[in-house]
Amino acid sequence: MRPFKHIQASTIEEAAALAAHEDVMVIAGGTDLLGTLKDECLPYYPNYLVDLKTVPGLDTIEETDTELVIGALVKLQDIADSELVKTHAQALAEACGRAASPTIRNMGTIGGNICQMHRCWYFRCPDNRFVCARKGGKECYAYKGDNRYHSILGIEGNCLAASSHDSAPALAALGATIVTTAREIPAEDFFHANGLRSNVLENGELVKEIRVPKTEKSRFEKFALRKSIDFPLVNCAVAEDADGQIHIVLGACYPSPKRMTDAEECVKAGVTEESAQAAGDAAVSKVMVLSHNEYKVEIARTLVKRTLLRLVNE
Amino acid sequence: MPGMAEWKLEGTNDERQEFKYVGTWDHPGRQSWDMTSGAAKYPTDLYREGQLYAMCLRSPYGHAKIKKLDISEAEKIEGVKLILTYEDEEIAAMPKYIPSYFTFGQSPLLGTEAEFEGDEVGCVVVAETEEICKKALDYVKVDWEVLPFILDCREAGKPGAPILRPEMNPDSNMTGNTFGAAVKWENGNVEEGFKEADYIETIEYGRPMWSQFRSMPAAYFSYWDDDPWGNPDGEKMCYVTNHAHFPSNGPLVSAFQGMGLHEDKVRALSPYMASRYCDFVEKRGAQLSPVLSKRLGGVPVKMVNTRRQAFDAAVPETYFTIRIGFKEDGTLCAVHCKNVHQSGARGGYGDKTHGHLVLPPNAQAFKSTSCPNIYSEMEYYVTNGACTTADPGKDMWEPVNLTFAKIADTLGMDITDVIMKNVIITQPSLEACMEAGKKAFHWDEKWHLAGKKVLPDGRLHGVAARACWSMTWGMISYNINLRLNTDGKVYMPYSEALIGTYWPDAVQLVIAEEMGMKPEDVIVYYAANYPNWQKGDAADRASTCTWAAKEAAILLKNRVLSAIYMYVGAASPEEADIVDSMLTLKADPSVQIPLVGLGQFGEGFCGKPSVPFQSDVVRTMNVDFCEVAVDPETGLVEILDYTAAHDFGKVIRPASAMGQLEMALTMASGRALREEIIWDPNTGVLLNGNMYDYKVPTALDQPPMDNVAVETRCGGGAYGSTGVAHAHTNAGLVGCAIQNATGGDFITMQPFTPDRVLAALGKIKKEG
Amino acid sequence: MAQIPRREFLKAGTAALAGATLSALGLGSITASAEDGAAEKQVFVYTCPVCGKQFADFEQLRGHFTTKHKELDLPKTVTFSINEAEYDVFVEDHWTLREALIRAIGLTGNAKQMCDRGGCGSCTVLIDGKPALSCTTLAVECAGKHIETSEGIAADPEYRPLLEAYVRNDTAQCGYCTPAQFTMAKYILNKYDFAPTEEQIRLELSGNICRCGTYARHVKAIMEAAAEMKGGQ
Repeated sequence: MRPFKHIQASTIEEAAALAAHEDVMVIAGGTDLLGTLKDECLPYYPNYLVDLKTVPGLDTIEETDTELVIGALVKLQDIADSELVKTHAQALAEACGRAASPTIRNMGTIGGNICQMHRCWYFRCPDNRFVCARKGGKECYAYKGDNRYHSILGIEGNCLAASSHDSAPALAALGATIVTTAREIPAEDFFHANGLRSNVLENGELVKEIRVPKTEKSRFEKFALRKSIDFPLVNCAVAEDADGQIHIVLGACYPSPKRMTDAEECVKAGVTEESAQAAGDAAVSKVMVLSHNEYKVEIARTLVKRTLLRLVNE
Repeated sequence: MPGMAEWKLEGTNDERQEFKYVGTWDHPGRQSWDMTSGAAKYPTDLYREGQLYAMCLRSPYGHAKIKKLDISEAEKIEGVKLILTYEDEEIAAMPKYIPSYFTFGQSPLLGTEAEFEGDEVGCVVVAETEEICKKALDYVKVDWEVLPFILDCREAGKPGAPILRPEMNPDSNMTGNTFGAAVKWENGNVEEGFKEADYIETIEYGRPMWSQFRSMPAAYFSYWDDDPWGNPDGEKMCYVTNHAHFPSNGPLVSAFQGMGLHEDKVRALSPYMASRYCDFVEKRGAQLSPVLSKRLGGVPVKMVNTRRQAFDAAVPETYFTIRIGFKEDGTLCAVHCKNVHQSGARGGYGDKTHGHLVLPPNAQAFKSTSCPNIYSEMEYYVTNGACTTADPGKDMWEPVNLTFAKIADTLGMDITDVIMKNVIITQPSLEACMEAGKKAFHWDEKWHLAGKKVLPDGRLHGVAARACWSMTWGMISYNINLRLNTDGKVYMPYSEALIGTYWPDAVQLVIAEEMGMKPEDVIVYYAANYPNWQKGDAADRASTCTWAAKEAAILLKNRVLSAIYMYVGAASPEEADIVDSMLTLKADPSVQIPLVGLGQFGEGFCGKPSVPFQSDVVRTMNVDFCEVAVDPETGLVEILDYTAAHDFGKVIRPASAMGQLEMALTMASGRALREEIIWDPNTGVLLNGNMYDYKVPTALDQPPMDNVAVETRCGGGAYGSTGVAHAHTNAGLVGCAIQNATGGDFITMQPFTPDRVLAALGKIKKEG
Repeated sequence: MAQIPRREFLKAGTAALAGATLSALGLGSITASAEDGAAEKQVFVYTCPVCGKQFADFEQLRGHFTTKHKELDLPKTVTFSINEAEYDVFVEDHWTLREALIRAIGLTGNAKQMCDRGGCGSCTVLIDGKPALSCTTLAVECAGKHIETSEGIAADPEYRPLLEAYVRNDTAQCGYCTPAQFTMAKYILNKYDFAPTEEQIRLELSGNICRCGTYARHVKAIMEAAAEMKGGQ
């Protein structure tokens, strides 16, 4: 890696103030960031890395009557293993338990996972080889290129990358709130193809904690070619909210996780084999298939159905 | 069934019936302690005081030429020690052809034309750190001429395609050992054969480029220093890391041939090289790092490659179109086989003119069937994807096995019956493998007609079987030197870097067996300065090196007994024996004296079993079985059981023999289901050159296996042993099992990813 | 395996083995006895992060840096607690732990570069008892933490049964990924209280790629070691 200076933050406010500078990046688990620095796949390289792991108090999972409060620095594996999360937000525990590999889950944080940059192979190509729309260029190279892993639900911000975090659809389906140093953002609105970012954070804004409403009914499913060390080709989370309404969110099908309201309509009266199938069909009723990814439609259709059925059959 | 001509095993293969050590378990590998503890140093691990790093300029384009190169700004950067360009006289004078086993084709060591994205070209920088190297390369001003590129060998063969390597062939992209024309071969009369056929079908088969995927991206570490063993002329020795698995190949050979030195001036630094799988691509660092070190007074220079850069060595793409004619009873009577094959960015493996590739590989395996009428045609085309290497598998059997699957499916026959009906070679090996394999796999309970079985979870169930040769890698000679020392132990030095076949440990057992020594009294040890013939290790090597070791051991035992038989009161050497490391009397085993202090004796054997390389004399076979579950809604395939019945001839060291099967089948499963190298079709830039997007199987993806060892003693190695892993790394079998599950079309292109499976199920449209 | 003391072997074997370059190449088990090789102890040298010059103690290194590289900022001094020892080491801010293990510490068992991007697990160490990828961990962030490497685990008499099970089962083919898998094995034994199931072992090892396909061997070795060690726990 090219040189940078390493600064250990002692408060989140200090870290946020530093992060507002253009030549600063923040590091938590480092599992996404350090790879991008080694590959030099971004348009610029930081002079400083600010370590968030030295900020105290952000690595706990707590509960209130209605919510789980998860610090940004909690490790993915700790969420997967947490009895609190397994009981009250099962979809999130399952999602964190399927992310990446066991060792990465022991290093990577939930804050880092929701801030992970897109896994598009044009965006990630070393030496910033493809200056795509996300990096200030004009085009999305996936459109005419190899897009087998890309969006089937259309374009966002001139980008066809697939959202690649496993936790994201779970948080969106659960109706979680992302608490940053500046504001509170519903998870459903948090993710977005936004420059280099995969979310709506602004410079100098850092994730502090995540509040997840408790629900006894939520599930997550992931489809990937390998059973470990793999990003989702499609993932899906479903959760029943306090009003009994089922939320369905598809991930890896669009630049951000996408709530499937048409599909939700299909299971308003309850989840059955037929309504789950109808929900799957509804989820993929408006697709924009690219040259190499039609197969993902079938996988998305199936995953919506299966995740819903798990909600009622388990 | 028609048999083969009698072929007599030579040497003492047949004589030994009782085995005390050969074929037994629990002989820990000698290197295993250091490999496990991490004490073993691989080339990437090496670090020496004053070490410098070297990096080449690399092409950002799929095919490009340097028009102008300016290094003046780069040279000014603090920490840069040396920059050499293609104009450097010494580098320009280094040989183009011989080093590195033809992998450079006709490219110079450091030229102006880049044949693929990431190709090393133009200049090489030496600096204090990797970071400074990268910075300096950023300051090298390059004026590129971007040239047209081709990734698919079928495109390269089309009329009007840009000529990629006019210096190799000005008229077309046909290169390699076909010398500008397709290789054609005919046996019998194919048109007559088709007239006799009851059925005529056409088969398509394609496979992408697979990464050879060495575990360790190549790292070349080199320095010059005094010779601790005392070189009389006082010249410095060149130390290099060695990670070749093939004779007359690899960094060591590249180094001394490239510099015009002789072998004794170059010393291997480490016996650890990590895995390579018939990967003959040696990178430029092999020759550059010793030269760079020399130019800087002998300081250590390390040339590293990232994982992404290590994707430049690949198994070539290949495409078959095969017309087959067969009779109602399942007998094949005519084959018309056309093969378009890739020779890679440098002409690659196709450049080889060795006999075994002059005959089109596809025809080699069809020759092992009873089909009298075979026409085969093969074209090699240069492309711009990556350098090609050999396929570690026996890819010539892929079209044959697909043919059997097609016959079985068309006629509603059991594919194992089709195999037995049509494969003519190697009795009793094939029958033995088929019987043992069917039993281990529970074939008779699992097999059904295509599309006829659904599992309780809704997935489609399918099985398939395929046959292949077990090759004796008989083209390689071994130089085995043995010495009985005054301490009563037998010593055998070796100096190869190993890839995991445990051949020194297999050799130890053979020597112990033949000499009458306890295994612990046979010391097979690494000796860096031992100039033995071999400089590498190969997957099937154990069968031939153990043969040479057996011959050497017999010679040594005879020599020892002739000299010391009288110490136990024997009247002649024939009356004495060595048992459990003791000299004894055959007539009275209670008479025993230790071998300690009785003198020092040496013998050597350099040679190989006289087993020709060609397929005509393959006597041992193997049969693989595969069971899959296909998710009809997502197209995801899971391998439920992958079982090989392999005729080892004779198993020498069971732990490693079975390990080779596990390795090969795991690799085949990855290739079948996920692995392929992917480039951007518009720029020729590698897209999946990392371990997230190039998907090597994990512990959770490894298929369950229930492998069986068959021992017919029919091979050409020691005690009739043969090679192992080469036979099993082909992925086509999984596709046949998928077809048995879906009952639909055979998928014509590997890997069998969900998109292709869904297309075969008619759920989505086919691509292309 | 018979014990062959190293000195005796050298005398009896070949003088060529006395070559100076062999001592640091991890050849213990093939040039001498297996047990010798596994327990080979590291003599720590202090290495200048700029020019690579090596010193017997940290003060000499500091003196060298302040005179020879006086134009540069003094690198960070990190006290590494590795296996059973502590070392003061100069590291650059941008060095990963993997780089520090090769360039400054000399323990390379878990410093393997298979992918260098977190996607292969070949560089896995234990940090405060949990697996971590040394290629994706900054060295400066390891100050004050306890790092365990394969060398330390192999030298630990308590884990001798694990080492022996690994060797007995040919868990290594080419050996490149083995030290990291062996390191994971210790973690697995502890996490599952020396009674892991096959499924648990496969799951925990699923971040460690082995191209030689040795996974089933690791499962077997860990199960055997667990059975043997359980009694002693």
